[in-house]
Amino acid sequence: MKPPVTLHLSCSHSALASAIVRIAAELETAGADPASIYAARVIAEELGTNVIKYAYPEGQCDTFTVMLTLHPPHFTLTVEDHGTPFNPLDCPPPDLTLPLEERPIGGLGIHLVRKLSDRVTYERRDDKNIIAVERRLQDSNPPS
Amino acid sequence: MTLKEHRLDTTLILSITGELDNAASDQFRELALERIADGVSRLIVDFGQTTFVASMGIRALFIPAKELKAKGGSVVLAALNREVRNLLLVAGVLDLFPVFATPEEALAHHCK
Repeated sequence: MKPPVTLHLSCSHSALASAIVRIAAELETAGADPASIYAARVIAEELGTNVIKYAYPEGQCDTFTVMLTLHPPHFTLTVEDHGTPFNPLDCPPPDLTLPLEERPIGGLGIHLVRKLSDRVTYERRDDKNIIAVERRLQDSNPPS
Repeated sequence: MTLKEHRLDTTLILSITGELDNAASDQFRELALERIADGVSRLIVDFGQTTFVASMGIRALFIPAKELKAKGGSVVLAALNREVRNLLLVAGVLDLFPVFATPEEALAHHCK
């Protein structure tokens, strides 16, 4: 197994956007299919945005870490922050049967992360929120 | 992200080039709401050149759609590529919007 690609990011959307480009390139080199690369981009975007916007009290977000581990036929994206303890998996899934006027505005990001991945785990360790998301490199591979 | 506008009376085709990511979603929503306030009643969102959509981008579609629905107008989607279509499907919003293969088809459909 290759060593993970570890990216230490400042809390800005431009840093996150560059990291996503890097992750997509690494996955492409590893033979991931377009659906998996797209899923990885969405997963990194949603988890990274959550850290930047919500993990720290206003103005206190400094850096966070995004890590890509390739373990064919799967990969794992891990996002770590030192922010307020928060397990997004505790959030109830949005009600997708509601008509447009009654749809709540929030809760979509973590729903997408769950639906686009095979496994999501959360742990609070060493004062860090650690979210690990695992997915197939190709849709033709069995789910992890 | 770049937004290109093509207005025909009360219909606006809004073409998104690049990424409708979480950072760009405010810009899209603000422009859409501004144009609705300015008399647009049918918003055709053209995804033909859109490379990426994230959750806040999806939410940015909701807000103008709610606004227009209350006024008897609508938001319709055009030229979704496979990845964007799948994302909207997973988000459970695909059946909330009429979807057309091209913006021209969306325009033609309205005239019938």
